[in-house]
Amino acid sequence: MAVSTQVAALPKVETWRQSFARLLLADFENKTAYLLLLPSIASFLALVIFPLATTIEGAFSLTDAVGRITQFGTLKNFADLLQDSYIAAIVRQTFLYAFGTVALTVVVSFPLALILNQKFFGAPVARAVLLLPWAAPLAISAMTWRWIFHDQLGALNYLLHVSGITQRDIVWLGDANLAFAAVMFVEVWSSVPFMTITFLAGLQSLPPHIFDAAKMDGASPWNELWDMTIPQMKKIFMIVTLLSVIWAFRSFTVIWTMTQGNPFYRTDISVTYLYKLAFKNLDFGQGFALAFATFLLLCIFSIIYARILRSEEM
Amino acid sequence: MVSKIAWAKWLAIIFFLIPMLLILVFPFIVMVSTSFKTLQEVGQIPPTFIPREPTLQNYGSVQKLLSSFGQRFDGVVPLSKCCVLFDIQCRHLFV
Repeated sequence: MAVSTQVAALPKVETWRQSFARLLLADFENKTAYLLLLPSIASFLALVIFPLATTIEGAFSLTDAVGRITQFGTLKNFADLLQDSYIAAIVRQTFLYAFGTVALTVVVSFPLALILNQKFFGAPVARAVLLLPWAAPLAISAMTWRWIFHDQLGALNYLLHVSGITQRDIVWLGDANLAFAAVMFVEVWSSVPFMTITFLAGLQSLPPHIFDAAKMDGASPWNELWDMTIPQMKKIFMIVTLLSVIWAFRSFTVIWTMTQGNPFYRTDISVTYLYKLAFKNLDFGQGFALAFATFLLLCIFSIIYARILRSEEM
Repeated sequence: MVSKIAWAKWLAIIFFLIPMLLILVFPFIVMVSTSFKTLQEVGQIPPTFIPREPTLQNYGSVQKLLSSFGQRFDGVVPLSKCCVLFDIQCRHLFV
């Protein structure tokens, strides 16, 4: 097809100069749009692209103790990172943390959204209360959680004592496994509101008439849930899950506020560990390298996310 | 059938929604209660939920908060101040 039209319309085919001029003219006509985009493009370049480029450059460079690049073009940082005695545990914890919190959040949020989608007395109040963790700055709520998890002054141990479950003072943030569970719990706590609200929005956008039709055909509530609601929510599920995984991978506040990775790097994930590498060990090169590795991993998730968002089917 | 669904709904609300909402607001209960406590009571073992001598002292000392912002947020006193700060933010949010 391309060949035949080209032959027939040969005199009218524009040269690359003409097409360039045409595009330029179109751009010129849209120049207000570009002008309006300029501030965001400028800030994007300054705040995203520039640090990103610096990080990538630093990952392949030798750095001195204040983070200046001394020599570009080496893989020493990555080699050092592989030699690091904690890195295997950090990677495992990062994945456990990201996927664990997201899975738990989905398990909690979807039933919550299903319940809140019903009509009952007090539903608006419940929806408002649900958003409370969102209204608070995460650092402050994480500090409050650290306070609650305190072994002697904390409200959690007090509640356990009063309800007679245990009389011991459990050192929640001192034991590696308990601390990890506590940090994950707070991360789940902080991400439940967003996910529930998104699920709720998704549920409310489902067309009601097909449910009426299903009821007429004698579908049980169980059928409606499994065969109608969940398949139709598939896209929302995937988008929310991917977004949350990306957010969980870069989650810094909760861990840093509650444990700072203690005890013995057992609650560190890659983001907090790279902070320690760069700003505590003053080994900026390794910090850059770990940041770059995390960035590559998140890129994969972002690409999948973009694909899902673009796909029209499902 | 309909009553069965209604029953399931109320069971879900009582045994799932309400506990979850309680967990979600729990830190805020602690924050608000701590913000009305005296310094002695904040550091008391075992902790109390309802302040025995409610005080507005912390709210008065917000002025000093700004000057002490450079301190490390470690320990008890800054926490109660944080609660106060949060409370102020909330008021800004809702007013």
